[in-house]
Amino acid sequence: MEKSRESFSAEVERTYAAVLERASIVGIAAIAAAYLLYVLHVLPLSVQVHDIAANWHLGADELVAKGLSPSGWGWIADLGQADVLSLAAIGFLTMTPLVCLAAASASFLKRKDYAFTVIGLLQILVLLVAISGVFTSRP
Amino acid sequence: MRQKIGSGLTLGGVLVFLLVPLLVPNGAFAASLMPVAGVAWWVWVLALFVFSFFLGIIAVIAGVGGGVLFVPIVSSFFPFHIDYVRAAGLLVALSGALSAGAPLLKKGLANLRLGLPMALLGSVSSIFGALVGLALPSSFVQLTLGIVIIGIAVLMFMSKRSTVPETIEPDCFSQMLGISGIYHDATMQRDVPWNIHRTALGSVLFVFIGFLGGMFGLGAGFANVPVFNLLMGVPLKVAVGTSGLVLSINGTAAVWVYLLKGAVLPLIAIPAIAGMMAGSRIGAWLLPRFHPKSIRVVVIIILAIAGVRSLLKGMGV
Repeated sequence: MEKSRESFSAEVERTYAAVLERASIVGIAAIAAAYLLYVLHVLPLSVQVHDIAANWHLGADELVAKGLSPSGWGWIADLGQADVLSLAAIGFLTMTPLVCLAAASASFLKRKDYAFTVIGLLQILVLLVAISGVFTSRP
Repeated sequence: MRQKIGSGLTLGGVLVFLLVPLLVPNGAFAASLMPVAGVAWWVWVLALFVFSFFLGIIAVIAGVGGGVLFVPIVSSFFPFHIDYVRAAGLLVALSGALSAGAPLLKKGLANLRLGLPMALLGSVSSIFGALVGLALPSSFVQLTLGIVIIGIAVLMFMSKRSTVPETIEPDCFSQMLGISGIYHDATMQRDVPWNIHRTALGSVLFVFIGFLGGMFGLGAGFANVPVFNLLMGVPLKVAVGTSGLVLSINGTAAVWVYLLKGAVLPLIAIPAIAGMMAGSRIGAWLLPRFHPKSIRVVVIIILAIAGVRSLLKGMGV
């Protein structure tokens, strides 16, 4: 019993690891590509690099007020601009655990481990709430 | 033998690279860094990449996530506002954990059954921690961060057992969730079975750690490892590996608060992420080659110095 649980856990961990490996490689490739487009000025920018560098000593609120940094989800409409695309790539990379958790939850469910299926699904829900911006939207 | 010497030299070089800036008084750098107009932006960006690369190596070996070292050092020696440094610190910790996660899971050094319940609790509190952290004055955040880190370093220094804790009786919560495991310790040349106890208290502490991690913009590996290892009885290597798993999930929850508040600047964050991911690959490769005791010493030294640094900065020294 003990041995079968160990081997089952190792199997779920291998599933999680396989997805994590692929998703993190895709994520890092995405941010590297987006960053090259950004600093090499291949695509147009919403804010010039030297404007950011001249103001990176200011706090986030001040940068947002000056229109030099986006807040909320408003930036999603400007994905054709390299700096916004870089921000989106960062967001994409941070979603890696979501994909891994989905794969692990499916694996737990397949093996009728309902406690960890629920834990996995609840974790996905928490991350989706954070990503949605429910708590960060300005009044 | 030659491999051990090589690993030791690599680790020593990285430590010197990280410790020298920490030991130099803040004022020695602050004055020369303020007028940054004469320095091209790409110089700062390149320097950030190189620093993050070396940090990536040491962070995986020490199991501190990177953010806890990244935030105090970068906010002292680079001309960026601490808002972006904290956001980048979270991303650095997160990306380092993502990069090292797969090999650690495959080797049994990170455990999902142990990590997922703690990550669930920690990620909820990390969202609220990030919201509170962005609302507080940065000097207060820096001061309290220093106190917390020094406290953890002292706790680890005082502890006598942490490498592989003595056989423990699993509690009812860990039995109910089936949290236990076996890993192969390459340095000891044997399989090490483990159980956990004090699961309820550990869970409460992970709520607290998640909150602090989000508030300070850190990965919070510096606190995850001692709670897993010293309180719950998880062997140090599994504690380090599983800590990365937990902070990759908690970091995701907290970083979206920073991102949606306009505190993520790709110009700063991406070189830091790229450097950390490259460095942490090497760190994960080196991890099984180090004896757990040497990892513990590295953790204590780095935490103590980074804590004092943060405390002094919070007091305006």
